[in-house]
Amino acid sequence: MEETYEIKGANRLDALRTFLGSLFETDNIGSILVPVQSETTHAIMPTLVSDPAVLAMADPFAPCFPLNGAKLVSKLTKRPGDKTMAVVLRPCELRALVELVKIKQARMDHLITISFDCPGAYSNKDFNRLPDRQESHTLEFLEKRLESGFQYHDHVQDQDQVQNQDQNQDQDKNEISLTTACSICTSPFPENADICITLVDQPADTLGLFATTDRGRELLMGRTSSVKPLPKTRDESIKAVLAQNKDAEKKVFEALSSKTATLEKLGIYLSACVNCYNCRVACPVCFCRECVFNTDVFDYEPFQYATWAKNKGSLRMPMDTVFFHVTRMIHMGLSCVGCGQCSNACPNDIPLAELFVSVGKEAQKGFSYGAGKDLDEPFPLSIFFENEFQDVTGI
Amino acid sequence: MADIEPITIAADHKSGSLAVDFEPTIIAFVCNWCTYTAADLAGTSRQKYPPNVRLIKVMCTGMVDPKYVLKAFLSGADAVLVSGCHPGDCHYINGNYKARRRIHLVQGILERFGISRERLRLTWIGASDGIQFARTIRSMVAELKKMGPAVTDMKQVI
Repeated sequence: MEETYEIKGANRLDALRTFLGSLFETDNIGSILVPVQSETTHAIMPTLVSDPAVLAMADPFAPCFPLNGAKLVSKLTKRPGDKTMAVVLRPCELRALVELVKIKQARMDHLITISFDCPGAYSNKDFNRLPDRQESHTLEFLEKRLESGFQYHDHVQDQDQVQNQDQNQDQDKNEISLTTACSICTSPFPENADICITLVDQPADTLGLFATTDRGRELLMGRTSSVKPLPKTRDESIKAVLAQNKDAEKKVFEALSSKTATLEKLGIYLSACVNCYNCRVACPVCFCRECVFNTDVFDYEPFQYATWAKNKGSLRMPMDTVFFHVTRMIHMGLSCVGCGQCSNACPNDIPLAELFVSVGKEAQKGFSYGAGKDLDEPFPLSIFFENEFQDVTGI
Repeated sequence: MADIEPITIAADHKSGSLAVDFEPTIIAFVCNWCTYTAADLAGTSRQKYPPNVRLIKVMCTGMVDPKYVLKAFLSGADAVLVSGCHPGDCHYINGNYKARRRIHLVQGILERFGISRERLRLTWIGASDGIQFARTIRSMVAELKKMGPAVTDMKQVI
């Protein structure tokens, strides 16, 4: 086991802020990207902090996940810099960042990645509806999640209604559910961050810290914080959470595959899509500067529409909806990290996350690849070998 | 006139009615250097194969964008054939290896939506394999006739 340290504070957020503040003291860290609560609106947005005083509003544990921060890190690291930057990311954001680094859309050379045991998040809509979005809300949410062993709501588990958000809300109006993507997340614990922050089985005033890279180890080594092993129960607790989420995932996927078993059914599943392409914009691994669906390729002539309508009897407009989504699966399925921002971005509440996660996982399995797991594992479509996939060819 | 048996026209499967005499449509992306030449050879050497296939010549299987394949299926193709040079024979050194990975990916994703692997084929047919080209098309058509149309109601495929 790695050397682990512990940070104490008045509460979990305080401990985290103390730790982040201490990063500024170590020479090289010039700025930290971390979700910070706005003083006026209580919105929580990733913020590049260079003044330690601002950290007093840092709140990465809130059930608020407005966007996948990997895209922001890509903007911040486009050119090589000389100052080291620290970024606090959820595990799925970190996985997306790893994917972006692989396809040369971000770099890690002057980056310290910090991740944490992710308690999950609400959808943007749900979070923004919350009346009370103070710090106390985050702490309460965290406490509840940790107490229950990251349980997805019990009544959901009991009644096999993981996928049915509406009914959940009817049954329990006060209780907001996590997004489906979070409830079926099979890797909510940091795996390859420079510094991992642990919450599971820690007391309410303590954070555990451990490093998984040399850079992280170096940073933690000179710390005044006390060395203390992680709670012995952690492995067990993590296993239980993973088992539970896998179970939820299985149920969601099963319901999904019968709903999307043919192209016709997929068309019905996506029938509320207005081709706004918000899912693509929100997707951290959809990195093209210009998407082909915005180019002249899909800018048809009026007579073409007329011809298609005539041939088919009717033409649903906007068209190319299934085309767009399946193309996106082919383009980014191998890199899908399961962050669920596609669902979050959809104005018409199409459950896209489970669709893309299930297709993505299957595609990744086909190449024995795990999106965002390992920086040294090359992106499957960037390599090839002579004697592979022999079963693909021939009749 | 009235008692003359009407000529059986392959019913338009896109309208939803399953035809008794189902004639599948195959879109074939064939590489300029090998399979297209093979198809040419099949023609000049009077090899017979059913007319269900529409050939689209591409410079290399490595340039077959998954969107081409998708567009074919979404426009009502019952199968797509991508065919090029044998491994090691690619005019562009390794385009066919890249195609193989890509087709592997697309097969996996389309299978999930009811387009089985038999409907998206990748074959290596060299320039001198005219006979093999004709045989491939014949067996694909026979197989597809048994399988029926890929999509029964095109109107739902938005």
